[in-house]
Amino acid sequence: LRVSAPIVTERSPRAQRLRRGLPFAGILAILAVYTLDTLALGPRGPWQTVDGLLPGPGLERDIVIDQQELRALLETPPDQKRALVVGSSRAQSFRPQLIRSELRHSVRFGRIAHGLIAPFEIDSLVDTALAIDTDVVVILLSEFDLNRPVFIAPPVSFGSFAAVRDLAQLGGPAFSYEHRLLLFRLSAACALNSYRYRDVLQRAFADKWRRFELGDPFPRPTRVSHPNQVEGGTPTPLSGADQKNLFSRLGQLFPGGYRSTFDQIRSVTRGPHADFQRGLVRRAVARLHAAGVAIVIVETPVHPLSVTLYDTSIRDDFVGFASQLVSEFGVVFVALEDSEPYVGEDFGDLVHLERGAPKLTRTIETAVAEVLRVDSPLRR
Amino acid sequence: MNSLMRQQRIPTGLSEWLLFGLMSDFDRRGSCALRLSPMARPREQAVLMCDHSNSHPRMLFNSLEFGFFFALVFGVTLLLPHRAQNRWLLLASYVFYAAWDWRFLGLLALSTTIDYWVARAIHQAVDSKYRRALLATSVVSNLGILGIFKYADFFGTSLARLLGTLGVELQPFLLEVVLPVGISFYTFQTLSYTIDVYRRRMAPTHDFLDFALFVSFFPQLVAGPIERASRLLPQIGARRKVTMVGIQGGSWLILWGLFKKVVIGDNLAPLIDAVFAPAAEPYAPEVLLATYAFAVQIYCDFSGYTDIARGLAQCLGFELMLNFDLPYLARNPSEFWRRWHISLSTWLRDYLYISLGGNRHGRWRTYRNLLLTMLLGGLWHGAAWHFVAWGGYHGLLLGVHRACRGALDRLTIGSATRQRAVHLLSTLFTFHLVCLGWLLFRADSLSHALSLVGRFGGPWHVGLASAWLLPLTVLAGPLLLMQLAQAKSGKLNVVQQMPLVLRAAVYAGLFLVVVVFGEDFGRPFIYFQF
Repeated sequence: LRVSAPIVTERSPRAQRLRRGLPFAGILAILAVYTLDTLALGPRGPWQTVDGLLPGPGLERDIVIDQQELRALLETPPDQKRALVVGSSRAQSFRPQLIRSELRHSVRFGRIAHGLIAPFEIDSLVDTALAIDTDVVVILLSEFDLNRPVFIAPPVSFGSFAAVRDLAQLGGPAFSYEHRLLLFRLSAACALNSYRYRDVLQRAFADKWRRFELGDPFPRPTRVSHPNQVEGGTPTPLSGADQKNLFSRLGQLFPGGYRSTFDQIRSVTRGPHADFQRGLVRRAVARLHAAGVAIVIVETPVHPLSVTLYDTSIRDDFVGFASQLVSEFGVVFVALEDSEPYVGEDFGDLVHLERGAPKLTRTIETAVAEVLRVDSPLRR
Repeated sequence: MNSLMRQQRIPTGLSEWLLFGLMSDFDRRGSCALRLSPMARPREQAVLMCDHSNSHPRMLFNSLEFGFFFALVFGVTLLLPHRAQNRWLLLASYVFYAAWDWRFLGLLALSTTIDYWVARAIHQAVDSKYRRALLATSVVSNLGILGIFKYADFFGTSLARLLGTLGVELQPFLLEVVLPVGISFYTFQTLSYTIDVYRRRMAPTHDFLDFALFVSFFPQLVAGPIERASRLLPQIGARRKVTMVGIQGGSWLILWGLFKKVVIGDNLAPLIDAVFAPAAEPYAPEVLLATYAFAVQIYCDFSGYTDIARGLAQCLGFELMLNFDLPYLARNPSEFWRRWHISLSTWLRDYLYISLGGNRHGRWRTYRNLLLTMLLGGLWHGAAWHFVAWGGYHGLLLGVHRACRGALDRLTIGSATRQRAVHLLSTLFTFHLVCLGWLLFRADSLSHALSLVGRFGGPWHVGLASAWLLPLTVLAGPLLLMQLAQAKSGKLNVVQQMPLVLRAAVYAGLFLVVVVFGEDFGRPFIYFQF
């Protein structure tokens, strides 16, 4: 009896051809890379260990903390609501530990906040927020975030192809061509966690093994935004005398330094960059809204002195934009007028709250409780 | 001075911002603050500070941009029949070159056109004088292009300086043109074609577009290997097969090349840049380690490029020539040049050394030919006297080795242990001779090279060198291990002989290391400047 189909054995020519033809080692390698990349560098990865290996505070640590926060949210019991508070370093003034314990029992707060969180990162966060079944996303925002020049860097906490597509669509073909390398890199950061977190991994695992001590090292860069193709406008110049007086006053108020935040405040201007930033926030909000996630925008304060450093009518633009989001997407907007009043002593520098952090926390707490219809301090 | 050293170059474009954004560890990349001389001029300090932050992303093999480009080229190639493949690859090659600087596409096309027609005319000509004149046309036009774009300013300045020492003030007329990338490589490649046709070693091609692809084939266009027409043109003309085996082998070469370039070579760069900065005042052990580091860096950078080029070509169904064959395991200078930049050394041998008479006219003429060949080989690398000196140094080494060859061979006669010991010592000795050459090569100028050599006569303070041993070992270790394994097995594709699981682990591990610990995607290859 003969069978028509050839029997494939180890030694048969067909098996040999198959072995020669298929790159089994390559396929195995791709599987190994994908598995490692997903498991070890997903939110459930060993970020606590990575945190322990990082030599000091900095952006890398903030990124690792983001991942730990996401993991905590992922592990939240189903009967607890999930609230994600997101914003720039100014959002670090939100202190979850200050939230009333009754509310903490019903809502788990996660805080994603560091210096590189800007509108594009908020858009990038949407997929992650949806993946962890977030009930409410609280975005801490003000004209300070929307009217500063666009600054996009791949090695942040999240990667989302949808956000990259948003960026390309918003910028248009000319922008996409001009910034194709950025888009390539952002896409690579979306596709591969190893690429996105390479700075963190380098700092945690490799720097001491491969870094050459070369004497007096350069200081780490101050991550201030800088005009690029989506340029900011020119702020009204300060006269020499005004600047001298101002610097002297700022020096007294903030002996720890004020120059970097001063420069940031001065970069708050009107211009196409602000439309671009607003476009990114709008897209993020639209995507969250479409997925049924509640959205709260809390206006974050700046030091009273800061307000004198840029055109204050820019704030009206911001409030107008937020009102549009309220009417279009049912966003809950908490303006400064609806928050507890902030005074100069509440701030650690021109933009960051220090003593006033509890006030901001209470504002967020109240808004989230309202939105989620859980035990609200306002209701009581 | 510290405030000056701490100046940071603020990027101006979004792409530059990207580079800046990737530099969370800014001091790792830019720290070149190794004991600056108080006499350092601001420009020198600026060079120290800026270093790579101004690297403009182009079609570098180690850039994501190129990754997307190649994916497109490869994908379309698979869909096309043979002739259309060639046209598509030609178009891709011109796009690739235009991404560097579209203004120089004309030069590439000019060189291609001249050599195509000249070679055909040479083939048809019977009169030897006419044939020689035609060859001279090709040589003069190719070397003329090279001379104008690469050497005119160098010779002009050098002549003015020479006359200045004689008391004749001369303001040199400087063209100040940008050096077209890859010009040294493709002019040599086209020249070899015309010379081979002249020597009746091959018949000229009758397909202009195939010839244009031979000149501009993008994997090897900007930094070689300098392919011979007799090898590449038949591959272009014949129906190629893109096989899974070819893709697998090519992918391995690309991965290994990338690893050498972005993980080993680029991570060594900050140390080398700092020590070899004209304003730096390193101690002898620091110069020594930086020279070793440069030996590793230039090998990883250049052979990494070649591996990627060969890998890309292999994926497309081409087989490019081997350019490096474990050169640092050479036992003498002559063997070193049989293993280092093989496509250039064989080019120099076949078209220069042999044309000069080779070893056919007695001992002294042989030495002279060796020296001349290497001097011109040095000049090929760059329009600067330290490159010429580097070539001359290697010419001397080759001459001395040739003179002492018999005596050296006699040293190896004896027991196996004695042979092994002699081989080991001669390998180490040759490596150090080559390293001394690298010092000349990497220095900014001849006087700078001499001052660095002079450091060995100065105090031998350990300085920072002891702190560099660990990272140097960590970075160079994988390369050394691989080379030893290759030498022991006698096969360069030693990884592909491994068991399946081990091979997969090597692939995955290397890929992750490249992605995570590669210094940056976009640092140019050293040989692009030649």
